[in-house]
Amino acid sequence: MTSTETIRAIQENIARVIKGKPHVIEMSLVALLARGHLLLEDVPGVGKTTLAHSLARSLDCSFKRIQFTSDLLPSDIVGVSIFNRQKQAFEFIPGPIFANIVLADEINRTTPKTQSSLLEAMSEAQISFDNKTYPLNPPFMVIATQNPAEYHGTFPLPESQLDRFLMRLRIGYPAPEEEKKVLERASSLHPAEELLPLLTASEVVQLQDQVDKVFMEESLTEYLLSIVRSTRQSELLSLGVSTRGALALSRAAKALALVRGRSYCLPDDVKELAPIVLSHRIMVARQAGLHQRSFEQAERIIRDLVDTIPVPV
Amino acid sequence: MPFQLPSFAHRVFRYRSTRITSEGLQFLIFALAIGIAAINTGNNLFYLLLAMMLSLILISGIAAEYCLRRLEVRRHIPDLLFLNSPVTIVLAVKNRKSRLPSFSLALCDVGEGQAVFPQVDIHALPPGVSRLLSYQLIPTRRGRLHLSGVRLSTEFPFGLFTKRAFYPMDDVVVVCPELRPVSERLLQGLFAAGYEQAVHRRGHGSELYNLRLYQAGDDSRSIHWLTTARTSQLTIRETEAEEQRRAIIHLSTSVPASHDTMFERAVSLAASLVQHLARHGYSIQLRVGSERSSFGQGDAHGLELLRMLALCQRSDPTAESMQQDEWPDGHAEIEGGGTVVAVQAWCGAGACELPRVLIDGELIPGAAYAT
Amino acid sequence: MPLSQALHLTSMLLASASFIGLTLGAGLPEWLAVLTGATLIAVLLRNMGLTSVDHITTQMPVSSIGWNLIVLGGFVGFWIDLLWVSGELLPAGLHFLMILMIIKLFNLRLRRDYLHLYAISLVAMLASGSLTTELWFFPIFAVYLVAGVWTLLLFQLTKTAEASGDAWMPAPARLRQESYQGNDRISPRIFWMANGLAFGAFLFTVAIFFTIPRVNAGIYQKGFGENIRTTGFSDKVNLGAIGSIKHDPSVVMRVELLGTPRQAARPLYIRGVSFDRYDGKVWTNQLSYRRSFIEESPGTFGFRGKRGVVRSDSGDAIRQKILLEPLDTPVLFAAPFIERVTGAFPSLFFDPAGAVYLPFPSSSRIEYTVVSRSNTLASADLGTGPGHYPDWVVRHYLQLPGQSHRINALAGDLTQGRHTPYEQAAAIQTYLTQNYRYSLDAPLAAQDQPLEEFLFVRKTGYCEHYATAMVIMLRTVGIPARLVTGFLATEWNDYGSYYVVRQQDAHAWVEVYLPHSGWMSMDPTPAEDNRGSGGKVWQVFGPIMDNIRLQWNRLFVQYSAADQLAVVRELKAEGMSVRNKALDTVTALFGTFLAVMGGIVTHDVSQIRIGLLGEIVGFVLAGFAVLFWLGWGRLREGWSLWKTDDGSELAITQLYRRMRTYLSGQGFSRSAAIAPLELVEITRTGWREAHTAVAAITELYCRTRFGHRPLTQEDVRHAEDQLRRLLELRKPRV
Repeated sequence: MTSTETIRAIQENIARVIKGKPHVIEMSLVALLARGHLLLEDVPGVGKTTLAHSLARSLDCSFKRIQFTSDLLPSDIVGVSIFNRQKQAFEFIPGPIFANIVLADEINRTTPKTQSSLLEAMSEAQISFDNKTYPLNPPFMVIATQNPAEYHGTFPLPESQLDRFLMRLRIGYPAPEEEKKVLERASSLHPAEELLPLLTASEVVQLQDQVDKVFMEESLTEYLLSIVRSTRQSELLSLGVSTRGALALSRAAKALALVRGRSYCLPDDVKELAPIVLSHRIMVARQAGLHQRSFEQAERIIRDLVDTIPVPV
Repeated sequence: MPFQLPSFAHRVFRYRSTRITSEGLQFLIFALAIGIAAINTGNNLFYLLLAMMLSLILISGIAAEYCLRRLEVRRHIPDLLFLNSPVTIVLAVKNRKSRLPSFSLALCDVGEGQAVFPQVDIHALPPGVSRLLSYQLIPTRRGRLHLSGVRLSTEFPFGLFTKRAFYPMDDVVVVCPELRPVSERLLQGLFAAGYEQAVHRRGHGSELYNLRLYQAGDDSRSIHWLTTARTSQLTIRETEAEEQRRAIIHLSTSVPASHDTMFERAVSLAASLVQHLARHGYSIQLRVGSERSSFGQGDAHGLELLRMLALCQRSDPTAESMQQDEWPDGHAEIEGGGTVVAVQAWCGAGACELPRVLIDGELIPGAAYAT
Repeated sequence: MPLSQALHLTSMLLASASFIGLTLGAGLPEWLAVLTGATLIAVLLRNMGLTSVDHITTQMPVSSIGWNLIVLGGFVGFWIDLLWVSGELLPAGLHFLMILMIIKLFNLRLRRDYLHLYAISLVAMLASGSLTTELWFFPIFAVYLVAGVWTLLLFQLTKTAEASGDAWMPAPARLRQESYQGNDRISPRIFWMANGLAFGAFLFTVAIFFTIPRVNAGIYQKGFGENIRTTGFSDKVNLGAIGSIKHDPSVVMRVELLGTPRQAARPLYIRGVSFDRYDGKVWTNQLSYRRSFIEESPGTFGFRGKRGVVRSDSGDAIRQKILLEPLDTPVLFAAPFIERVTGAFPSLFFDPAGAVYLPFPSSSRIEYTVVSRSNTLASADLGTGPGHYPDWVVRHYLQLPGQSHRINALAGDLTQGRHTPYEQAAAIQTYLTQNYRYSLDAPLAAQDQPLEEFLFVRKTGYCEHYATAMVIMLRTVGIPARLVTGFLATEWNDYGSYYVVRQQDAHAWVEVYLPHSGWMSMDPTPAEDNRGSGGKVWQVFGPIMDNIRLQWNRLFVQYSAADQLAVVRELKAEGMSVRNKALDTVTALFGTFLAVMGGIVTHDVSQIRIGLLGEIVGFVLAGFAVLFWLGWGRLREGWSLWKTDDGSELAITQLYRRMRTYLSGQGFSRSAAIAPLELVEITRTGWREAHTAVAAITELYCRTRFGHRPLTQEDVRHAEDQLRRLLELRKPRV
């Protein structure tokens, strides 16, 4: 199977479980192939967990789920050193982060300290514990979920931390007929459990390497940079997109091109990805330091900005 | 919010108006004079000049209309504004015409009652292009700010007439009371009151509170392995509960009309206190007149409280309202404890020059704000 | 070019146009014209960036108070001018206007000064319009209009700048503001738009001009232009007076024949006045008492009773439409003999000799229609039957200035053996035509006996001499005759189908009274050898220019309420659809120019002329090409950024661009921010028929443009096919 066919097969596989959301599936694959992490921001019960689960299932990768609560400690994620009486030595018991795909549920429910331990692991792809480093196995991808509706007792992630996520997605409610289908297939089994793995971990890594070879034309890079620059100059934003953000957009665009079976990027790739890759990296200008969330607003601002930038012809 | 002008004609004309500029007036006077001269003498060349001037007027009208046609305007406005603090309002205007550019546009927001806001200009807007424009607005009144639409005007092409188009676009934003730094003395009073109440106790958290020997039933996750190894005894690490301080801010609204400005200052003071305490991690309840919020923490809660203060109204004092506004006696009434901060703009018969602040029933003398 | 500089330039142009108009129209004093011209040139040069000029003008130590004082001085000068120098309000006012313009030109600092300059130029234009009705006004008016549109537009565009320095804006916000910053340039967009607006304004101007109601339009337009001096039409004419004007090419009138086929006709005699008495040197008209015409219907005048002195039942009627320049004589010219005159006259007079007069010389052009009928030779006059002359003819037309034997003898010889008056007259005419040479170089007026000198000594002369000689000889043999002055129209204008009559066409000939036929015209003057040899270019463009001039007079200068009414009436009467009528009007308007163009192409000109014409046309075309290239080059500049050396990439990119242009023309993809696949999606939902073509082209384009995959020739051809198919589609109207 060529890479294009493989990717299509995975999409179809997941689509058997997540009904009517091809876009979300495509984007999560993009995040995977771009070696990025995914932040799903949505109300509970729309299939965030199922998405992560089925992605992991189709890939023949290890999958761990961490439910974030206010009493979760960093060691609950990273792992602990335990004194082994037989060996008279400390032994490192790896935490759930040592998996290929990690689902971090309700990430904003835990304390900033715990959050940062996860985020460090995400950016470094390794764990430092007691002066030892433990590399994480590639592919490594964190799918974090966050519930925007609740604020009681939550610790929203700061922008600098959000930057670690490649993209922020919403799943949204399914269309009525799709929802009906979900209800109809009342299976006792978790739907994701039925999926068969299509790729091994090493094949995923190979695909990730292919992303780097996707060609991006010079004028397209210019286009991408002018989008980024416009966020820095915009009156609406108090914080524009960083260089890391530009890099992320470029990588995501390449991954999207690969997912769509192309070996080169198009302006469409950049344009389509800009809102979901950039919207969580910016700070909407506010008065008196009042932090305000509104996913939609940030996305809309990015979209408006992109609409002012001429596409290279 | 995008608003596209409906295509049918009567709507188009309802939102248009034309005014003449001073240059235009001079032009018209000249045209009139030439017209009179032409009729008097019957000189056809005068008629030719007159025809030229009339055609310029006609072209003016047509070009201006095309200039204002098919534009799309959006407004980006922050959800919360603060009294007397400048805010940037952004207007995005897009030229939806396929070929013709628009020139010399001036945009300005129109508020309730035709109040006009600062004007922003665009020199040229090529077809298919959108531009972001911003202006600074300093709200001068607490409460709801109503923006009814955007007025576009242009003097294009000849500067003889100003043509205006009105794009209705309703936006209501809340203007919060002014936030100012709170005076040192007041803060000391606050923290002094709060300190007594804040207790270090065991609980969930991340700060170390104590180490003790393992007891059956303890969570194995909290074994402190380093100490256990050192002492060869299973040692448990206890954490300190997250600090939870509570405050109730009470603002009395029954103030006579004569004390209107005083009331505004009191509202502003209350808002500043809310902001300040929220930042220091207090869980806050706000009582405005008879209204009560829940206890809460975090930005969203703070926002809600500010909104409450933004929209509160002064009411004339009556016996009943005085009763309701009556100071809640002692701490007993408040479950779970907490500091009670009362902000009063009017203290009955005795006139006071500044809003009074009482913390747990004690009057904090002196200025409310940092000087 | 920065907008502010462009504004300055167009303001100068505006001022120049009005200045040239005024100079041509009013004949400003030379020093003033030179001064204003020099000022304009100096200011223009400064605008062009000649620093030395700039240096001089900025060095002038004049403050604003100083300028005010100068204006005051000019005002005082105006009063002096008015009271002592010119003595009239208008010239003095014009002089003052020019001085004001000079002052303003040097003092263009504030926007207000610009406005003043525009007002001054408008007044100057107005004055120019009141002083002239010449054709040159039209190009100057057109230039003024275009410059005016440009100026007002630029004035407005630069205004935005100054107004936006608003106190509302805090400094940083103002910096980011999108507005005129003083360094904006004339973009191709502004350039084409301004020209488009100017063109639109011009069309509207013409439309408004023709539709604006002419309320109470004056019958006699006051003009200040000089009337053309004519000779030969007063009551007393020296022999040889016409000779002095035989070199003057200025146009006196234009005559259009109505109801005759449009082709070059034979020479047309246009009759002015006749003379009955000759005293040896001077012809006089003794029958100069005038009677007024009957106004048959408003504007139409006919002869009363038996039409005076001529018979009415013979000859073909000639209908003519005559556009007469302002002359210094009240005589109304027409082909002989006038039967009916139609025109906007309050009244008309005629004398017994058949000349028609206005109440007073017109100071502006007049247009009138005349029906004339000449007498034909009655067969009775060819026979030998005796004819007798009416008393009044005998009384007036047999006078002789004194007996001259030589002339008597000559006349006797010539008429020997001829029996009828007609034959005798023909013999004399033949003799004169064949034995004498035409020459303008004949200083006969100085002679004591000019006629004898002409007949027997010099034997050269011009029309007046021939005619006088013939009249005298006829009278000598007892045939009544008189001298007639007028014009001989020979110059036929092909483009407008009319005669052009110039001063040099002034002519004198003879009218002979035959017993049965009445007055018959006879011309003893032989044909001129070499008449009117102008420059070569003039010969080609002369008739064209003259025709344009005529149309200008017809359509603009002479346009009146009556014409408007006529159009309306025609519309009603014929029940023609308005569209047809409008089409006709347009055709009539532009027919001239089309004819001109056609004329240039088909005109039978020599090789040299074609070369010259070709050069001129070539220059004009080259100029247009350069302009187009300049504008277009700017437009293309933006695209060149993305050009690469790859041929196929270039080709497909251009195809794609054309597709985009077309689609945006059809209402898709208006924004430059639309990405290629997005566009495909838009057409898929919005325009199903076009979708396949758009998708195919976009696919190839993306592959080459962004993937750098080379295309095969086939691919390119395929894309071209698809584009062609797309261009044939029309978006369905929703």
